[in-house]
Amino acid sequence: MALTQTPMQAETAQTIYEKSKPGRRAAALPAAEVPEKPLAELIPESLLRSEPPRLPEIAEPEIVRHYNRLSRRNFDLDSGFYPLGSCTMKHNPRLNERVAALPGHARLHPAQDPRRAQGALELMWLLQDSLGEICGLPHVSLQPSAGSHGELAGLLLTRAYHADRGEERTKVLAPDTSHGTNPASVTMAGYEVVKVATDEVGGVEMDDLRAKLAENAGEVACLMLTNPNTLGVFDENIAEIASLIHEEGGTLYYDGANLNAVMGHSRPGDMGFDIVHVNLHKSFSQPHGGGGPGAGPIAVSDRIEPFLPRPQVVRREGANGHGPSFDLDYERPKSIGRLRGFQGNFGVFVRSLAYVLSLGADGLAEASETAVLNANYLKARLAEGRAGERLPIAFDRHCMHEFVLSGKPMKRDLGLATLDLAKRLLDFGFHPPTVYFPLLVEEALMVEPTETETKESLDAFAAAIEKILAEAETQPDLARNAPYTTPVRRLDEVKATRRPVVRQQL
Amino acid sequence: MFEFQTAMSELTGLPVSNAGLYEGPSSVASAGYLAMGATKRRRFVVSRGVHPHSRETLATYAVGYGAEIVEVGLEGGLTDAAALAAAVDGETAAVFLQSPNFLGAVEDVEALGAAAKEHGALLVVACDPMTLGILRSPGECGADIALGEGQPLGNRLDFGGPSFGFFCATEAQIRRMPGRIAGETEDVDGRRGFVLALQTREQHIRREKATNNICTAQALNALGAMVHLAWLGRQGFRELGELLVQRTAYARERLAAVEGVEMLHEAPVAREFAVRLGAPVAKVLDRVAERGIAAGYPLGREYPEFEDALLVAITERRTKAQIDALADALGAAIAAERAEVTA
Repeated sequence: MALTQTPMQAETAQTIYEKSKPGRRAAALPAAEVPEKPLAELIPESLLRSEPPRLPEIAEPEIVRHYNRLSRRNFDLDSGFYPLGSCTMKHNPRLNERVAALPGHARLHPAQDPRRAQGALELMWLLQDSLGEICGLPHVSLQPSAGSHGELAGLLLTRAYHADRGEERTKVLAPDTSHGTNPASVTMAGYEVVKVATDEVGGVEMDDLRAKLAENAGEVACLMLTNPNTLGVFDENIAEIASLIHEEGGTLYYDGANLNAVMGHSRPGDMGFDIVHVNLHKSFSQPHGGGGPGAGPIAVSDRIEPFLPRPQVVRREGANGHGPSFDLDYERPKSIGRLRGFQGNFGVFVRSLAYVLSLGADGLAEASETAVLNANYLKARLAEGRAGERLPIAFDRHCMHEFVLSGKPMKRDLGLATLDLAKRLLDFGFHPPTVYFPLLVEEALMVEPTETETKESLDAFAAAIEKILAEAETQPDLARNAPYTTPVRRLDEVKATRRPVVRQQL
Repeated sequence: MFEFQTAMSELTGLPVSNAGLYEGPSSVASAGYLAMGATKRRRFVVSRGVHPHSRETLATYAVGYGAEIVEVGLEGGLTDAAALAAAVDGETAAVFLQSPNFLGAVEDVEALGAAAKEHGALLVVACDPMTLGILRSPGECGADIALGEGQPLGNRLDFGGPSFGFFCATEAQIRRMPGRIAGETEDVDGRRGFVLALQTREQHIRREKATNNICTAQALNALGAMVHLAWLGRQGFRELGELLVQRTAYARERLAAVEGVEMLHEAPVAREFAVRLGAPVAKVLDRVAERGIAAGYPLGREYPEFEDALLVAITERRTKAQIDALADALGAAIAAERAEVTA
């Protein structure tokens, strides 16, 4: 395809270091004001640096333009539809940003005495209480910084729980559809992963689960599950799964990455889960920021509670007519200890509580309903026409908030890989769905529209897929060489890994 | 992210940086996991000068991945060099230092690190990025990994998060690094572009064999740090370091001259220092708080041996007038406490 370059493509990509000129600067620092001494009198010369680090030298207007330009070269949720399966890329109300930026939140020192941080601690306690209610599990720690951190916490809690009972278990079961973080967390927590197969309707293969439990009798510490799972399917055998694991003495862990499907409708605690993590950056209004920040609080059952990380935010009833007070409780002798510095990603908590309070119980339930409705609508649209033929649904049943298509027929009949379709979607102004995950679906395409998209967006997305499949019948190279309109086209990822260049040569 | 990695490499003097982790202490724990993988050993030697939150987080993780921790005490505010050398042996996976350490003292990282080099253990150095405009870089001092808390680089306090952790290492560790790494490459037309490099280390590809479980980290906070560093610029960053050292030296001298206050140690400091108070720390802090001053961090909870000590931090936001007011308030509070006891 010979196309003319877009204006962004024609720009020469320059880093801020390449715009740097000796002597330029933005910051003007105040004078020390105090009587100064030669540096070497204060710190031995041998511990001092001879040359300052080579940071860019550039004036403020050019800094602003540089980063503004870079932001325009990204595709983000404010640019268009972003149906990235498993990531819940939904709109985050702007109000919550304003609340998080209030100086009382943003400028509060993390080591402030709890007596002088009552507002922040009350806010954290309220969020703990809300998440406990949503998950159906009474005890919450806000400490984990992301979903994978929550998983690690859950596995360390499982280890502490068993150790407390004098047991040492070595295996953790996880379905073959699980998120990659699950097995990675299992290894970091010192366990071995045992994979469980998926049945023909997308749930846990019960015979395989029974077989794996029997093979590893007395060794199974935990089963990690997400429900609905990464196929967007709600596992109807969950009650039986829970009783099998509990009979074996294991804990049941819920990967809450897909909680956006079930808020206010079903609760992991009621399904029999012992430990749940919640991705606040997915379901609870926290912009993803190109890879964080997020937060991954955990909710647990009574038997796991004594082991929760330290410190824990607690509410103490007031005496003599005083109202309740809030504190950080360090006196937790069975605690697994700290998972990070200070109390967690507080700025994230502010946004999430603002979100929970502004939607309320009804609003959260409606958000999940709409997320499921949008996914089922889009699934139905994509079952029509060429998409229905070339991109069949992997497990054909009602889906929850997301669904997985297989590009196998498309590849066979049109010679178009899922990756080609994904890249071509960019030319139509859509961020591609998650591709090649879950691993057990060939040429997988995982679509999660979320509740904040209009019917028009979903229709436009379905129309774009139809158009790409139609054009591929006569011009398959069009998609194979896509995209054409993005600031850069297909990038050489192999080169970036074989001969990594991870910093600028200065 | 590529720019951020370049800046962090410059600050730490190490060639490979990732695009950021959650925050400081969990980055320390991730360094432990890396060191175990690199050395196939399971023992960490950790200075008590390392931030208590980092040591506690490392201990939490170590229970999972199965490592043992040996702590080395402090002498005169600095890591006890003889005890450290005695603790390191052929079973040591990594030696963990922090400079400036939790008591504010600037450690001689190179000298302390010799024990690690001798026994083939990795040298992990936690550092305060704001001091890296003036202090010798950890890389120059022989560190294999330099990491730390990124909040001071243009991030909000937010009661402790979100901020980010930075993590830099030698070339030898590039395929064992945790977290995302941006890399430079080209598109099909030869146009310069950037991708996530070395993804074969990561959980979404390697699953149970991944070098770390991290997925969502704190990219936006790391970006904020890069903008802040560009804004400070090469000269500004150095001047800021000097400003901190000068004001801190003044504050230390000013406070030590107050009746009832003495220095906890005389080791060189950059922007924090510790003092002993001649009256109960908690009560003094309450009295000073009445004047609207948060005087410092009481060391007693994490260092029972320093029950009477206070850690004081001076940032670029603290003026001479505020330092003077702090000294006066501390003096008045100690005098009032003592008068109450006498009465």
